[in-house]
Amino acid sequence: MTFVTISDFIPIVPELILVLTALLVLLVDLVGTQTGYKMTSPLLAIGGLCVAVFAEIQLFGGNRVGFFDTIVADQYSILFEIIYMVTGIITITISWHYIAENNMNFREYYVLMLFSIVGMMLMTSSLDLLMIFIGLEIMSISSYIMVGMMRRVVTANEAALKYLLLGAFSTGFLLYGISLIYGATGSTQLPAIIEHLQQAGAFENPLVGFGLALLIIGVGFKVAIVPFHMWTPDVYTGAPTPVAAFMSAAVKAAGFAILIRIFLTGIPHAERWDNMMWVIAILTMTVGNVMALRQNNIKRMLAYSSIAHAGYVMVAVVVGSEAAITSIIYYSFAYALMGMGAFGVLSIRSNGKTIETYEDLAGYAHAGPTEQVAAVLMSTFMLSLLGLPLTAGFIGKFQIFYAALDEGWFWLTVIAAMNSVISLFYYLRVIVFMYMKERIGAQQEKESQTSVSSLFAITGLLATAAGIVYLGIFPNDFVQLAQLSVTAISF
Amino acid sequence: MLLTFYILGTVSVLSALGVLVCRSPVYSAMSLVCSFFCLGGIYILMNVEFVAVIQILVYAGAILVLFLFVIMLLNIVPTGESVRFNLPVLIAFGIAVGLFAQISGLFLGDIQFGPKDVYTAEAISEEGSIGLIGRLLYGEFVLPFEAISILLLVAVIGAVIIGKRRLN
Amino acid sequence: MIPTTHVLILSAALFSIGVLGVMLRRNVIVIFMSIELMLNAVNLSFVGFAREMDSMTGVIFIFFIIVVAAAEAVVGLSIILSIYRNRQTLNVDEYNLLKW
Repeated sequence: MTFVTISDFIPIVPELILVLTALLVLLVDLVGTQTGYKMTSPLLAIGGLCVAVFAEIQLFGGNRVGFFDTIVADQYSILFEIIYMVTGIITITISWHYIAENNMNFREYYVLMLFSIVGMMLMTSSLDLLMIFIGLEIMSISSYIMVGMMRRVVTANEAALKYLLLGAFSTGFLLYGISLIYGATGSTQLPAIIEHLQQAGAFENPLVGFGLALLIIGVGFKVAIVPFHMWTPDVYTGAPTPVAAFMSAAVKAAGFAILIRIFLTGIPHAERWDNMMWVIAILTMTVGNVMALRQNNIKRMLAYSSIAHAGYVMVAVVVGSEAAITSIIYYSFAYALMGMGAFGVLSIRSNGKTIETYEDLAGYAHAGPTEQVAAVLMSTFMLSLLGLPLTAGFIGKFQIFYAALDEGWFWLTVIAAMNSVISLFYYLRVIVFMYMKERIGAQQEKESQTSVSSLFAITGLLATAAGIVYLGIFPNDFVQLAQLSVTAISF
Repeated sequence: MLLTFYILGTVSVLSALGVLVCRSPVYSAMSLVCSFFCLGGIYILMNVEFVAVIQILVYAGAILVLFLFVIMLLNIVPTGESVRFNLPVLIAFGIAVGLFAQISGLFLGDIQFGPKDVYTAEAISEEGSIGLIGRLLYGEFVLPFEAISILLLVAVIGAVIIGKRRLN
Repeated sequence: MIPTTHVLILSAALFSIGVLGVMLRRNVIVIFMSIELMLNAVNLSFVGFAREMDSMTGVIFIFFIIVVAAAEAVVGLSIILSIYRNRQTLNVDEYNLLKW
């Protein structure tokens, strides 16, 4: 009988650090006094995340494996894990303000977020469908709870219920897909499955095609590609804003990480498969952009825009070349920053109210010093989401389109570019409302007091914006890292 | 043995349909318990006793009791929810029947199963199925086994903060 | 020996009934039960495949599916409790503050 040894744990050291941090936050919460709690939990969580990032950097390049070759710490998983953790740090900086303002005094929030990140990390670094499934469930169940945490708010209840029902429903499809793949290949481990599927005639087996299709449905729900996107706008609108930010950034990145890991590392593509995927890509982009145009609620608009961005990533998934996978990694990180930033600005209260519709944004840029900074930040995020040069969004889209053209997907690229043009209207509308409209109604301008927590949030958002501009002007460092990690997975 | 399988299978499908047909959630839950028991019987016929045991203990014993508990806690009176044959319902029927036809057509077609592993019925009975599962859970599958504890912890935290009536 | 194909067809039938229940019923708790039915169908197909291939992985997989189903049920039912306290209804069609 074989047991694990201590060296098996080295690849999951970052995960272990985060689990310990989460338990520590839970304990501090238990013994901490009511007055002194406000700073401790978020700072502890950020500290734990930083240590874990440091541990990841130490592991980089080691290509360590453990647990009977089911867990790998290759460059690919490390890069994605760092993306999740950076997203987590930014989310915590914007959450603190939101929690203080909305009386959402659950310190378990940070615990759940850390566990959710642990789930993502486990599923990214695993090569076993069983472990991927468990990681996915840890991530999903934590996010169901985070969405429904403000249990007195009816919209939050409703959002959590819809998310959970559709999430559990999609889990059923995912599992059925896994079972069919298991039946066809006799294993749940990805290397064995891929080896089996690379044999000639493996796709003649009807179990394989149908199983892969069911897997796509299961993962498609998590990354919200059309036609499995219905939950996204409702859930993002009903959820606490920082949670929506976290979901649009980290949960989506994790979904794409396993999509690449399962589908783009050696499973030969049938003709039918390509046809299905490019239809999905076009539908996702177009539905996302057209529906975003019609929204008046900004969170709903951002939700549809996140669907549209998933569509651009799907274009790269269709292309599937090495350059395309590099662009997926870059785009996931870039979108994580831009999306988080946009939701983050929405979570800051201005004159005692949060922004919900475009009308609430009118004259935002002239409302006070905090708002002035926030408006500049929001404009940066919008321009980056739009894909203007000098921002990360531009480089991301450019890489995807370039990879698609390189492989001869001309019309797909044209449709994607046209979709970017549509998105111009609703992103610019935000900037126009902030700077060029007057506040509606002669309301008495309260002395807008700048709280410490909102400064904390602004700091986090400033760092995010700096990251976007840095990635936009000097993309090479990150692109090289992404290329390195792609070579780690292609076999 | 084959006949027992067919009887249990028919009863489990019928009681699964009962879940859909019953107006009262309590009857639906009892119907579901019946379906789970039949599946437990099928697992025994297929020599996977351990699965049969946890099927009865955890599914019928714990999860379904939780459902019944919530139904009683909320004191639900059966609503006048009746199935009308309008368009969405017909579409739902169409999707379900199509799904069933697709999957069962798949199984009736030319399927190849994966390569054989080493755990034949004799090998299992030699070690005992529970012993074998225990050995695998603490050997090959130890990481998922540990990771699932995180999931349970998350579920406990979630149930407390969402379900509790008031927090101090 | 029970033919594996028949086991698989039984699991397909249960899975389809579960899917039908999710789409057909409006009571949240019954929708949840239908999802449990789908997971059970998956378990049955795992057992069928595992017996056919003399493999244990499928049996182990079921163990984890049951735990996940339990965790999902706990969280789901607590969300149902909290929404029932606020809305006094279990009909999903009446949860319409957010457009579907």
